[in-house]
Amino acid sequence: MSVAAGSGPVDAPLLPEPVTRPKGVLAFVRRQPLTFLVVSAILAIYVLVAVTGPWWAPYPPDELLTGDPFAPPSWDHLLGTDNFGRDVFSRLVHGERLVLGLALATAGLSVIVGSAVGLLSACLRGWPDELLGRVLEILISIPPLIIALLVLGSLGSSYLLTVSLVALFFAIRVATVIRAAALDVVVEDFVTLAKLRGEPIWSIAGREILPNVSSAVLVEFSLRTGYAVLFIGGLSFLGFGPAPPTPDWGLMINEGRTYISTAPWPVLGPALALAGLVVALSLFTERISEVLGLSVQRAPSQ
Amino acid sequence: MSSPAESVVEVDELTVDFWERDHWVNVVNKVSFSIEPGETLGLVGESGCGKSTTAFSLFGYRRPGSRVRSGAIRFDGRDLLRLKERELRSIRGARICLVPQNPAGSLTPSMRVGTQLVETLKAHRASTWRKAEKRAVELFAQVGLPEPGEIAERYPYELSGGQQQRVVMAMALACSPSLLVLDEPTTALDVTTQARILKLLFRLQGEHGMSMLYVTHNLGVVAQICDRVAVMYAGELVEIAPTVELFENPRHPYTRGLIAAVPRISAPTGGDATLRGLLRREELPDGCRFAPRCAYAQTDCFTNPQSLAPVAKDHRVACWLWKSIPGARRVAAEEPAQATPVPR
Repeated sequence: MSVAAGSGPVDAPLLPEPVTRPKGVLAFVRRQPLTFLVVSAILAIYVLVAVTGPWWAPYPPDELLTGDPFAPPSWDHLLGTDNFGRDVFSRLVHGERLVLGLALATAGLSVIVGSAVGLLSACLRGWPDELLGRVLEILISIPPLIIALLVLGSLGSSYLLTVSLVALFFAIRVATVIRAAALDVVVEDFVTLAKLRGEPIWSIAGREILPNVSSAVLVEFSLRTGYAVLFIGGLSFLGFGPAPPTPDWGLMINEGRTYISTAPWPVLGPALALAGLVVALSLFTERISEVLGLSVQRAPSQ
Repeated sequence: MSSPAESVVEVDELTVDFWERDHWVNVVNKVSFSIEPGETLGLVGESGCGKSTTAFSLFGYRRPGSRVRSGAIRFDGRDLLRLKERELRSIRGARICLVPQNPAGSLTPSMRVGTQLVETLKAHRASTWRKAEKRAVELFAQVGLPEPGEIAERYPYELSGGQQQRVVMAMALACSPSLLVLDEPTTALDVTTQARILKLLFRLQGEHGMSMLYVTHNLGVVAQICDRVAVMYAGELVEIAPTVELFENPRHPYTRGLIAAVPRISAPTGGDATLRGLLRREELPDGCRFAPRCAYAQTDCFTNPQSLAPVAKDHRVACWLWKSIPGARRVAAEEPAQATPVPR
């Protein structure tokens, strides 16, 4: 009972020093394992090629008979030529923008939609959340490839349709992940306090919860980009992508497939490029999730 | 008691249930009290007695899995339990504010504390970001944070527990509320910091002229800062009285047990006392809920529900036996059956 009504200034303890690690880009880079640096460099090259490729590619993508048909790799044709004598390397370089662009658009769209649904569900709690959770579980059990083939087959393929369809499938999966992450956050005291402070629900979702699940969102984006490359590549390979003579990698693999025993290079080029991109993205995702303290779901994409 | 019209807030027969697996469990039962302008009311009771639930109800907030069975909370001429979420939002954080139990968990970890305060200000008072930022620094200074401008730039984890509590208090005071609800605000702090925070509370109440509801299980704190005290047991109010009256002349056996159980250096003869153990909600009798633990309980106690009845000016007790129980100052010495001395 010693504290009386005091009015003088209150002396507080000294500020604790914030924990610091060596700062700067160089110090950060030095801390990363070699794999991550190599993978990042590879991804940087992919992006660079996608952006600048069309300006320096040796041949236009659909110029016929740049050399003999089925010419093996040489200095003139780094990855050989295909059945029409088109330069495989040039087609790869030109097609990269498309492959990467579609994948990023799909991943971006799926993460935006999925995160919104997941956050909303977690914020609402109670029966709306239960209902939405069950609906997501039902949707997740639908095999995406079959539905995609059905829809694209009946409506005809277009970039917009492909991207929105694949994004929709991925969004369902993103939503479950983000919902789970957000459910851990909504029970925190600061969320209750925000409600008691009179914050509207969108503000709670956006300002209180989203920043605390941002690492999960980031990892999902990176993960979905890799999956999108594969999925859209697969659709193109099955003939549900862009029409010939578009230099799409999946389509190129499909076109070259007939001659694979005599001239493997028209298939090898795009196949290796696709594989390299997916593996690089996957390793990259793994490392960021490690840095952010999350684990990536290891299941296959479909 | 002042007339109801003057009260800042008036809780009337509040009854709250929690859903437990397959049935409703009563957590708060017909609790009524009012808080006058500029007054500090202490709400004390053991863990799980429903005091925090009562406090949260003042915001019209129901925890998931709970329901308000009946009752009203009158604030500003309106019943908070019947308001729409939108209307509640204009009251929460502006007119009625909360200082929570756990300051560390009450701040968004990924946002600078200054930004959090600015957002609170922006949510209730339309003003420019620049003005809100300036006001935030003023508020930090007001709650006694050193270098407020620099603190505002920090993340919650970069602050000490006492500083976090001050930040949370600054957020609660941001809109000059007429009622401040404090849910065990000093439980997470060490005694020295606790004393500083209480001192600060006193000063702030003087400056802002607000009413406070102080929820705690710490009778020492109650004695220091509360004008009146309400004692809660198993979801019911058992006694309400001005602080001095309550400590000098406790009437309810439970209150006596609580006061006797406070360790005292100055009165070693009283000894450390304990109350008999807690009961599960299912084991509570239909009558007085304290009866199974009460040393004076008679057969009628188990069947007749008790409600608050006046025993003195502003002093009400929910025990029909209050007259036949010996005086308060002899509580610790003369009630071995109820307050068991612990051998030293």
